[in-house]
Amino acid sequence: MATKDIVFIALFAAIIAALGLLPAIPVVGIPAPITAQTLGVMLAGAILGPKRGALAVLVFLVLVLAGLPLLAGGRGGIEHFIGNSGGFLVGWFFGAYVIGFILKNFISDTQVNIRAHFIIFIACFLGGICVVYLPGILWIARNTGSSFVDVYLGSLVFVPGDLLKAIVAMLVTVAVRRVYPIALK
Amino acid sequence: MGQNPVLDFSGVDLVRNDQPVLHDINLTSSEHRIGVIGANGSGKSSFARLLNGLLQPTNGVAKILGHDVSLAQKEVRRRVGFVFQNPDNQIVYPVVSEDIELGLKGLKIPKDQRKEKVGEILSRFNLLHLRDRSVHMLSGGEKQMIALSSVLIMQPKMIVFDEPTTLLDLRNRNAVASTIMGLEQYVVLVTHDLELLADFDRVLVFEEGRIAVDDTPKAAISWYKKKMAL
Amino acid sequence: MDLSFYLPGHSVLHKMPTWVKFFLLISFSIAFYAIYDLRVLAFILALAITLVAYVKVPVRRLKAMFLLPLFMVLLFSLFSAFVNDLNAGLLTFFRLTSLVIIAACVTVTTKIEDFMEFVENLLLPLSFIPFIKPKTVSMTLSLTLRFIPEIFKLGMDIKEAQAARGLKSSPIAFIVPLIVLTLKRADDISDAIDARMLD
Repeated sequence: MATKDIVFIALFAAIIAALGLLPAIPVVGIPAPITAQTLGVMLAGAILGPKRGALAVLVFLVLVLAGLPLLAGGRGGIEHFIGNSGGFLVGWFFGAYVIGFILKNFISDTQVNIRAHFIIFIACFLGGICVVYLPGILWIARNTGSSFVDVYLGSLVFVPGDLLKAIVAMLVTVAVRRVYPIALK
Repeated sequence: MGQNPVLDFSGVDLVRNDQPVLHDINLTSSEHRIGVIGANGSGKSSFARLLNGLLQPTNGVAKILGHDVSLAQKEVRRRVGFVFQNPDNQIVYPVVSEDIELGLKGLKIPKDQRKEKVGEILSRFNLLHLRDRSVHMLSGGEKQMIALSSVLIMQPKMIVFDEPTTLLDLRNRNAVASTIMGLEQYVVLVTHDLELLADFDRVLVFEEGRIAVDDTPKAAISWYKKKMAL
Repeated sequence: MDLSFYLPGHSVLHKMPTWVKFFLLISFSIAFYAIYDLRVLAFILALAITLVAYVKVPVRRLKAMFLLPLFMVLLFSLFSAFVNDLNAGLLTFFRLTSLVIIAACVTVTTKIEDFMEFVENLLLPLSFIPFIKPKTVSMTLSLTLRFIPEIFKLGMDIKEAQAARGLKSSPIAFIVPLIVLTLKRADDISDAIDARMLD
């Protein structure tokens, strides 16, 4: 790992944290404002690539674990890993990796055409939603002693908001690629 | 000081991102303080980065204090400190004392000795009250002095400054200027602030990747001023 | 910006080495799931609440720290009670509430520096893997902490600049400059780290 990779990882971990500290962003057509933090997780994978993206998320999570109030709404501490959100937090790490992996293997680092839009969206959907929810749902099912299917159906409520984030992540990724393309790693 | 010149460049070319930046730089110098001026994009920043091995010559040989920057990068870095234009990019730890002692950690110096040295360097600049402050709470001038302290604590033989006063207000600029003039180390100062160079020993003017003028501050600066007025 | 939940104090938890606290917490989180007796779990919860009083967490912090996790716990306990039965709901409630409370006590009694040192030491046995260098890890964590307030401020500046131009806040117009301006600094920062011979 070159020094620059480490700096990219640290800066993106800080971006994820800052997105959680900033006031939530109101979005036209959605009653509740979305917190930008899970968006940051998708962007980490999409902009830095699988390894650096996942490591940026990991660095962020270690700092939350250390007790820093960096989760959206100024929360932090080990209690959030033990509580029900723990599985989703673990899922963020794998989600960022999967997003980066898909982009790295299916489009070039500077591609911004329609196909790139489509692939980035699919990657954010698979990595940012499917991969994140899997450990999240398993975790809750274990914590509450309920069946996987019940928890799965219960968590479908959050999917529309996350789909919207995947679209925003796609648009942001394309815009960043246009002005400051970074070789995915 | 030894038989080796401080700076010894022969036939140095530098290509960055497929763009030629420096052409055939030849220079020998053992002066205490050297100023470097030139328009934006003239190659002076790249020249500064060669001095501590951040960049290496594409062709030719650059020796600093007798060490070849291409072959003995570590030796060069240990002896040459670098102060950047923007201290916000230079300070990497969140608390002042942590950042200053960072380089010492690399040298495996024990904790209590590190603490002592940090105290010494901060009191030298009357900055002891900043020891446990968060870096993001400091003013621009304080940050630049902390960045300089973190370089000085490594006891370099030479310090390269890359436009250290550009982002500072007048009071902080003066404080940094008088600190630079008080250093016993060899100094190479890249700057647009021509007044800083009045008492320097020698000034280089860069133009399109070459040393166009190499003279006393007075002569070099008046040449540069005329050139810029055209 | 206060970036820590740490509360200075002299309790046993403050003095306990970080690794002991984490070891105990992990042990508890495994052990509590082996207990099915509601009376025992209720007793444990009572002990956990006593712990909060012992550590002397101020009410303001209590609210900030506990409200959301506890609300989540309650929500999921109800969910569990609904899909399974009342007993399962109560089991979930007692186990999770106790763990959340104990974990929060660890959080407020552990300094960030101590935790970082703990992470560094934890990685020490793994340093034969070329990828994991404890020094690199702690530098990455510190670098992140260093830049969080700056990026936060940059975010505020971007919002202000856009408001000054009369632009409506759009997440894309906000996040794109935030990311680009931040990542563009990577070259200078890594130059500065290399120049200080920190590798």
